[in-house]
Amino acid sequence: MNLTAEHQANVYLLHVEGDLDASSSIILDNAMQEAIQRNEKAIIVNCEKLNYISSAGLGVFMSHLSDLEEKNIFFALCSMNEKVKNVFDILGLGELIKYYPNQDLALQAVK
Amino acid sequence: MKYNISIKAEKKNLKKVRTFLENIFAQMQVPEVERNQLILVVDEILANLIIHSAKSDMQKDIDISLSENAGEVTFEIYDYNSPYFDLTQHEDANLQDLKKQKRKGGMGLTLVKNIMDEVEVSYEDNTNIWRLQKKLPFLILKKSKNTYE
Repeated sequence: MNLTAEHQANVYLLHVEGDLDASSSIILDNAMQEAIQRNEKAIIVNCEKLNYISSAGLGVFMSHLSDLEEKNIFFALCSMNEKVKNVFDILGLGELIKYYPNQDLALQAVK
Repeated sequence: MKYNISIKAEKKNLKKVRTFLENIFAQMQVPEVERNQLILVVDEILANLIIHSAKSDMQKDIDISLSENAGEVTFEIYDYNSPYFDLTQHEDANLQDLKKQKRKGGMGLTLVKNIMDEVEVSYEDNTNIWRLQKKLPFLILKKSKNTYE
């Protein structure tokens, strides 16, 4: 898995690429942890190039939701392919995590 | 047709099994979303076994088999030298609780149970044998179509 990060205005954008499984989820976990500690105003995880996600990857997002809320940090996922979105939907994670079909919509939601 | 793969209980081998299954399901022309679900199910169980194996500090072997018969896919996963895993004690993930507890785990088996038609664990000779089944009606349709072609 590859992770790249950029700032667009007040938004911290994480681009996840490849497979996010029990072996690689620690990388994303560290990046999320650091972003929360820095008190970023908004974090968007762009999943456009994410090929695969298991519960270990989704668990990283779940484990930070309380801290994100507590610090009033906007958090959203965007641009999942059909098979990754299918896993997200099976667990009903849309109840707890904001999701947008593309990055522009996610960025608009921050404003 | 039956396919088998054996791995050591190490996280780095998860990708190896996914690639193995991906190739088989591609040959069987299983559509991408369903293919991903089937691969995910095996990946989730293996990840659990590997994490528990690491806790017991014992690097063990895990055998995985895949068979397809009359449109039904069956996985068998052999988890050797393990205490009995009582699947009936497993409760589906409560998302609000996981969020409150800031837990990373707890969703894998819920995914498995949601995707597969049947999930059983039997215990013999210190081995948990996971048996997972799912009907894929389009496999039968594809075969009958091929017959007429």
